[in-house]
Amino acid sequence: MLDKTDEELMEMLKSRSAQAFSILVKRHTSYFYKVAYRVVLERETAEDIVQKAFLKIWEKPNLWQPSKAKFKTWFYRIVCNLAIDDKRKFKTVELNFDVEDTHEEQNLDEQKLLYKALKSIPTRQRAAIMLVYFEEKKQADAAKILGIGIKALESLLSRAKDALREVVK
Amino acid sequence: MKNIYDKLEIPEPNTDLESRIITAAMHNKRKYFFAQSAALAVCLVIAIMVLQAQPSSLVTEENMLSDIDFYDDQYGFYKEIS
Repeated sequence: MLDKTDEELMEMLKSRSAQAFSILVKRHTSYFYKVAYRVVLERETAEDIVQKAFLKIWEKPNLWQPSKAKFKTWFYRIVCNLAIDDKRKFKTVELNFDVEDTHEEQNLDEQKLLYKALKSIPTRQRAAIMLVYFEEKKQADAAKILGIGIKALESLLSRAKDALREVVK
Repeated sequence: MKNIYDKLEIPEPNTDLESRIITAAMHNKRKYFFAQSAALAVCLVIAIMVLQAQPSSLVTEENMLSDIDFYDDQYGFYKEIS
């Protein structure tokens, strides 16, 4: 069973195979947790988003149409959209580490600045930046995942870059 | 811009995240099963109540015989049966 592809497991999931579901969860949880985290910047929220996404495919596996997209592309879209739609107010996370040497202190400052910069832009802009610059997806694919046109994506990216520059300055 | 995300430290998720997801799905499966069973039971009870309220619609020996009596006048072959 472990050597089956995601697409084969999804077909099995349509007949309510708990084993197929379990393999998909073990195979992809870690990766999609990171995807969700980069958008929401909050551990618990990212975990909840991944859980919601998996429950969605467990309850409605027929939403996936093999002729339209590979499992991973389609699931990526689910996770991204759930992350963008998450309306919760994020708690302010205190980056509270014990700093022992200057190098770590410098690293901590960088993390704080990075966190502050990313947190300062809207979730949708963060998702656009994550898709295009981090995941290195083509603009057309990123736009498709976000459910917007290419021009709208370009506008999101441009506004995000301006906002980040302001914070980092 | 890629550097920004490369540098971002991502905290490890809870170690039980995978099992939490699987448990939640199995719990939903049971919930779905019970909801389905309950809906079926309700339908069955309603069907029984409807049938009890209309005894004439039941296929009883009496009703069948009255049908045969009706057809007896029209078709000869029922004569032997009655």
